[in-house]
Order: sequence, then structure tokens, then C-alpha cells
Amino acid sequence: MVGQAPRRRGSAVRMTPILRVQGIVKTYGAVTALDGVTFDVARGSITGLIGPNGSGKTTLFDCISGFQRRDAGHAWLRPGERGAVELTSLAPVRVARARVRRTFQQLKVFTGLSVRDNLLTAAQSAPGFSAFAEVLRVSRVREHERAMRERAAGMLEEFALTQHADDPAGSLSYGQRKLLELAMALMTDPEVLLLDEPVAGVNPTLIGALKQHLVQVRDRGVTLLIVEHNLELVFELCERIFVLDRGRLLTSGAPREVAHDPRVLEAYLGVKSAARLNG
Amino acid sequence: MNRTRTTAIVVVAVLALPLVSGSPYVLHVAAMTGFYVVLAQSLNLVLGYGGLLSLATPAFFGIGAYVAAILSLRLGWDSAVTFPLASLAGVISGIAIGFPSLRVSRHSFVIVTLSATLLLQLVANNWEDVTRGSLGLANIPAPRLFGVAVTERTEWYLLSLAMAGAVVFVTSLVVGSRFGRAMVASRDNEQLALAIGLDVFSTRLFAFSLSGAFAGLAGALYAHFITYIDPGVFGFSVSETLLIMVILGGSGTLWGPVVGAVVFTVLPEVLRLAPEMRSLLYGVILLLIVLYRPSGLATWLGRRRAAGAAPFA
Amino acid sequence: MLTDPIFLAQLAANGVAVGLGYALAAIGLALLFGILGQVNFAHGELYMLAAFLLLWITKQLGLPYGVAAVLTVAVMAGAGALLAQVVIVPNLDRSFESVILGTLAVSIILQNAVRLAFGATPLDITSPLEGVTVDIGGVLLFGQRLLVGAAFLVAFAGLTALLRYTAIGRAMRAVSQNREACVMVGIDVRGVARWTGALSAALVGLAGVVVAPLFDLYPNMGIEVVFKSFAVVIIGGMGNLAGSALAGLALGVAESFAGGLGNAVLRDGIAFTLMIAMLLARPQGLFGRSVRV
Repeated sequence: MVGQAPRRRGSAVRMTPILRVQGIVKTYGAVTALDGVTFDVARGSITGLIGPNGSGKTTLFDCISGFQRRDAGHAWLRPGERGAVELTSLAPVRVARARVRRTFQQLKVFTGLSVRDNLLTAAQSAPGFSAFAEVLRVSRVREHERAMRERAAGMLEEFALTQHADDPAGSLSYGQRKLLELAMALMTDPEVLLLDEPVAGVNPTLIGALKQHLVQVRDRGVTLLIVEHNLELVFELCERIFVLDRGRLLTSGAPREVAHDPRVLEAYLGVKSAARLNG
Repeated sequence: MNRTRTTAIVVVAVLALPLVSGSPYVLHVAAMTGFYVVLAQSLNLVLGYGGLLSLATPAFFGIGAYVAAILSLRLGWDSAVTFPLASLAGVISGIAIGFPSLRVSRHSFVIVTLSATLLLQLVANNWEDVTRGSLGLANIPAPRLFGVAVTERTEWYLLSLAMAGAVVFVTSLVVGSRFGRAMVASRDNEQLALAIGLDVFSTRLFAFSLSGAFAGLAGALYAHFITYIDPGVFGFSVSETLLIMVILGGSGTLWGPVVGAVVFTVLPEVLRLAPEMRSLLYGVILLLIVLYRPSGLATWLGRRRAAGAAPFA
Repeated sequence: MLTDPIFLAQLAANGVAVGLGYALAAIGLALLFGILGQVNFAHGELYMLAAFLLLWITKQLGLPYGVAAVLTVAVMAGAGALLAQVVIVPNLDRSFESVILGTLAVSIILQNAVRLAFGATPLDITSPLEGVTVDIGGVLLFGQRLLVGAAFLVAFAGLTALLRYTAIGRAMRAVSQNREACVMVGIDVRGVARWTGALSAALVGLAGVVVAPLFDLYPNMGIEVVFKSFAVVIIGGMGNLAGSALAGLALGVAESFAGGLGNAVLRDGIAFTLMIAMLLARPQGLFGRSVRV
């Protein structure tokens, strides 16, 4: 069970990637959204995925997490290891149960449920209890529920949502819902978290807080793959950045490299951002 | 507390009804109300908590009715056996109909559930060896529970009350559990539910099957009570009435459909409307609800809405 | 008997005739779904209403069949626009269950209103083609059936022409592709909804007018129509006009052979079986959705 203290995955740092995206292709009739995207995501890293609008970032997330069927290619979780899982052929439910969680470009929370219930629901499917067990509230279920309530209380503290715990999630402000969304994704100790624009539409003061949260999440051993348009955030947080353009991987590298790559500048970056990094 | 006192008064009044009014007619209507409570909760599970517009309730109701009627007419079995079997038949139908219909788009779901009832009506009309077709099954004997026959109106009323109470209890158990939370979450935001690992399909199939169990039981009760059934039990009018009861009563609440069932079983009796007029009125009411979206009688009466109640009227 | 070519040809001819009726009844439903993404559960009752309206105009007003037919279709178009305005337009941006419930409510109202007005005993419409039978190489066809076929062909051609060559047709196609973009470009989506409703009702009304004289009229007759129309639209591909036409034909022929070579139960069960099979195996129908996502 995850407490508040950071946790590390053993003393030996494994160098194999946690996620391997291999040749993913997705077309809609005449439109090619993804044209053979391939890259590795390092274990325990914060990795960025950037690119102009329409470059296929969210489509890639959808294909990895089962919300869309890719036409070709694979996405391996823990490639090369014994417990490796091929994600693109799985339904979203199975991907989630493989501890790969994602958030959505259009923020999603259960607006009709309380904040606390949102967190509890996000955790309840992990042990895979049967419907009968849940309805009859057998002891295993009750224990798990109790444990999850504790964890949820911790989350509420961490994300400063405790006073809203019993309010419907629909009554939260946009920024608070973003925090809730992140908290929900964390409830089951995911191995990999695919975050689709985690700070979009969030006011600048909250962005700093979110940044802290993301670092803490990484320190707990979760690998983050972040799609973002807020390049300042991406360059500050991410160890490695992949750039998509029109469905293809344009380039990749450390933030400095990517920021100075003329191809990226050409496809996407304005002069202002590049200058800020240089200056 | 005010609430506890009101509840106590209601409970006493309900239990004392046979003593206050010995009129067979009143007890007859009261018993029918109990059956409709069962049916209303059946639809409430799928429509209210599940958020799915199901027109399949008559399918389960009719199957339960025919199973109970045939088993008691042909084999003379005790109702302690045929009632659960009718309910089980409802469950099996729930799985059989739910499996294809829950896989397809929401539009097609409505179409398939409606079509299932039409198909069953067709089968009932044509499988004359078993169902006697359009002649129907008559002289269905009184139910015998562990050898004790239920014949008096008072006995029927108590049986109906017990069944209604049991169904409401089971419903409260289901919707108050984390399974119920999963249902409401799936209704609230299906994509998110999938993304957090909820098996939305299985959840809905379970709820659908349970609603089949309830409606099948109601069918068995109805068959013995009215002592005659024909393929018309699969007809759309059952869905019509239930939609009014559940939506107007308060879709997705525990007691809303109960209130709806009571009001819309008693009211037509009091008003003594011709069936066509009553149906016409229901149609108008339903249209008005769709156009102006009130959230149900239960809310009008000022009861606090639980966070899980359906936003959809 | 199985090998008698005349018998088989008769079955085929009957099937085509019935199938054209199904196709005519179904394209209105397909149109509504293709353009607005809505399912009209009062579709069968519109058919029924057209038939009873025709009856009333010919019996009470004493007008001849042809005139009455045209009048009926015109009134139905108006009714369709009204239905769209009342039920669909307010719910364009809400959950589609509202439209389903709303049209269900309308179907309940129509059925019972007609039952109260006309009673439940089956009634009959006489058409000038009554008793006219055409003999084509040993295969017999009712004249009325030929009218149904002709009506379908004219309607389908007219509809295609309207969609392709007129401004309103272009607007309708635009709405079916991307409703939000239409609003931004200034296309009156509500107007398109009314037009679509009118066309849809006129088409199924035409079906009612030409097919009704072949059978008894009773207030419940819409149920079977809506069921068959659903099956046709699902099999052909929801929203796909040509697909629905072909599916209607195919269903008619399949039913005819099932009934002629098998029995009545088989015939009646085919529509349901094909529909379920299609939904499970190929949910987008034989021909897929036309453009509308």
C-alpha cells in the first residue's frame, strides 16, 4: 500500500524501457493520423510528447490505452521481460488493469459522484471482485474498501481537496478537477501514467503546484508520459522529449537538444520560446 | 425525528390496510401495486441506475408469467419452486437479451430490447403446443407456498407486500454497494469508467439479469393472480406504464419508483379511465416530461437527492 | 413444387414487391438517422396515421384515391416537420434518449388517439387498382404492388436528386457530416431538422398510402412497420440510403422464400434474426454508415 513517503523500485535501477511503442499506424480513410511511430519510454522517467495540433499525440494515447484500434504496430509494457504485456490489442478495461492509466484531453471526472467516491471508484476494480462479492459486501471487499478509504483520505490531503470530499465533483473548479483527475489516476499505483495535457486551461499559480505533484509522483516510481502544449513545463520537467509531426516521430532528445533543433523550431516552436531557452 | 415518524406511520398504514378496509377491490388494487413496485424496480435498475433505456421488461415479465403458468398447470408444482424458476427464467432471458443488446450502440440497444419483446410475442403466438397460442393459458391455479394455498385477497396482499419489500431490499443492497457505485459511474461517464478499469459491459449485464429476475417474479405473481395470460403479456403497454412510474416517480432513486408505482396503479383506478384514454394520457405526460424535464415526484415532494440519483429525467 | 420455376419466380416477384414496400417505409428512418443521428420511434405510427388519414379523406370527404394520396402525403410532411420541431429540435444537444422517449410518447399518443377515433376493428381502404392483377409470364402481381414499386423508385430518385442538387439537400448533407461546423458557417440546423422530419414523414406516409390498400387497417399496424424498418436500416447500415433500399429488397425476398418454402414462423423470425446477426457480426451494417459518424 502506498503511503506518503516516496518509494523506489528496489536498489538496482533497471535500464530496460517500461514502454516500447513500435511502428504504430492509424488511418482514417485517406487521412493518416499515425505513420509508424516508434520510441521507448525509460522506466521511472518523466517523458514528454509534443507536437503541433493534429500531429497524432492523443490518437497515440488512444491506441495505446485501447480506446481506438490501431491499424498496425504494438505497444509493449515491460518489453523483453517475463511479464510483458502488449497493450494495443487490449480493451481499455484490460489496459487499466495492467496498471497503465491515462487522463483525457477533455477533462473527465464523475460529476455526479462525490469527490471521495470518485477516488474510491477509481480504485475499486483493481482486485477484480465479482459482482456478488461486492453486493454482499463480503469481508475481502469490506477490507479493500477500508484500505481504499484510507488511501483516498491521503490523496485528498495531498491534493488539498479534503474539505470538498463529500461535494459532487461537478461543483469543483476546473483546476480542482484537474487535481482530482490526477489523484484518481494514482489511486491504484499505476506503473505508467499517460497524461493528456495535464495543465491545459489551468491558471499559472496552480501550474506550479501541479508540477510539484508530478515530480512527487515520479519519485514514487511511476513513469510519466506527458502530452503537453505548455513547452515551458515540458522543458523543465521532462528528461527526454519526443516530437511528433503529422503522425511521424520528427526527433527526440533532451530538452536543450529538442529546443535547438531547427526542424522542431520549423514545425512548431515560435521564436519566443526558443529565445527564452537560449537566453 | 420527523422522518422516522413519517416512515413509521407509512409502515403501520400499509400493514394495517387489510384491517382498515376489508374490501376485496381495495386489496386487489393494493396487491397489483405490489407487483408494479417489483416491475418498477426492475426498470429502475437498468434505466435509473444504469442509464439505459430498456424496453425489454415485458420480455422478462412475460417469460416469468408463462413459466409459472405452465409449470403449475402442467406439472402442478408448488410455487415455492415455480416462483424462483420464473425468476431464474428472467435471469436467463436477461443474459440472452443483454448479451447482444449491450454490445451495440445506445440506439441499437433500444431497438434490440424492443425487438426482443416482439419476437417473444411472436413465439408465444405460434408455439401453440406449449403456450396455446392466442388462446392463452386459463385457469391458472392459486399459488401454493409450501403447500399453503394463497386464495384470499388479504393473503395475496401480504404476499405481494412481501415480494415488493424483498425486491426493494435487494435493490437497496445493490445500489448501496460499490457495485452500485460502478453502475452510476458507468452511467455518468462511460469512457472514464473504462479508463479506470471498470468492466462496464459486465456491470450492465449483471444489472440487466437482475432486472430480469425481478420482472420474471412479477410475471409469475401476475399469472397466478389474474389466473389468465396470453401473448399480450409481452406487449408494449407494460413498458409504457413502467416508464411513467419510474421517470415520474424519480429515476435512479430507491423510493421514487415505489411512489411512482403506487400513484400510477391507484390513480387510474380512481379515475376509472378507459384503457385507451389512460394510455393517451400517459403518452402526453411522457411527452411533457421530455419537453420540460422535471426530476420526478420524489424530488417535488422535497426529498433530498442522493448524489447518485440520475440526472436524466 | 420446389423445382417449379414459375413458383420460384412468383416467390421472387412477391419478395421484390414486398421488399420495395419495406424499402420505401425504411428510407425515411435512414434519412433521419443519417442526417440528424436520431431514431424516430413514432415512425410506424406515422405510417399508420397516413393510412387512416387516407381512409378518412376518401370515405368522409369522398375524394378519389389519387387526390387523397397526394393530400395525405402533404399533410404527413407537415406532421413530420411539426414532430421535428417539437421533439427533435429542443433536444439536438441533449442526450438522444430524450428524442427516443419523446417519439415513443408521440407513438403512444397517436396509436391511442386513432383507436379512440376509429375503434379497434380492422378497416379497409379501396383503391382504384383493387382487383387489378398483372400477369408477367405466368407470374401474377397485384396492380397495387406495382404502384408500390413505382412509388419507391420515384421517391428514391427524387430524394437522391434533392440531396445532390438542391441547396437544402446540400445543407442536409453538411449537417450529417459535421453539425458544429454548420452552425459556424451559418447553416440553419433547426431548419434542416424540420426539413428532414418533413421528408422522413412524407416518405413513410407515401409508403402508408400505397401499401395500406393491400391490408387491413388497425391502430396497432405501426408496430410491425417500425420493427421491419429498424431491421432494414440496421442491416443496410444506419443512415445509408442505398443500403436501406437494398436491405429492404433483400429482406422482402428472404421472407418470401422463407414463407413459401418454410413456414410463417420462419418468415416472421427472419427480420429479427438478420438484425441481431448483423448487429453482432458487423454493427455498421452491410454498407456502413454513410458519412455520418
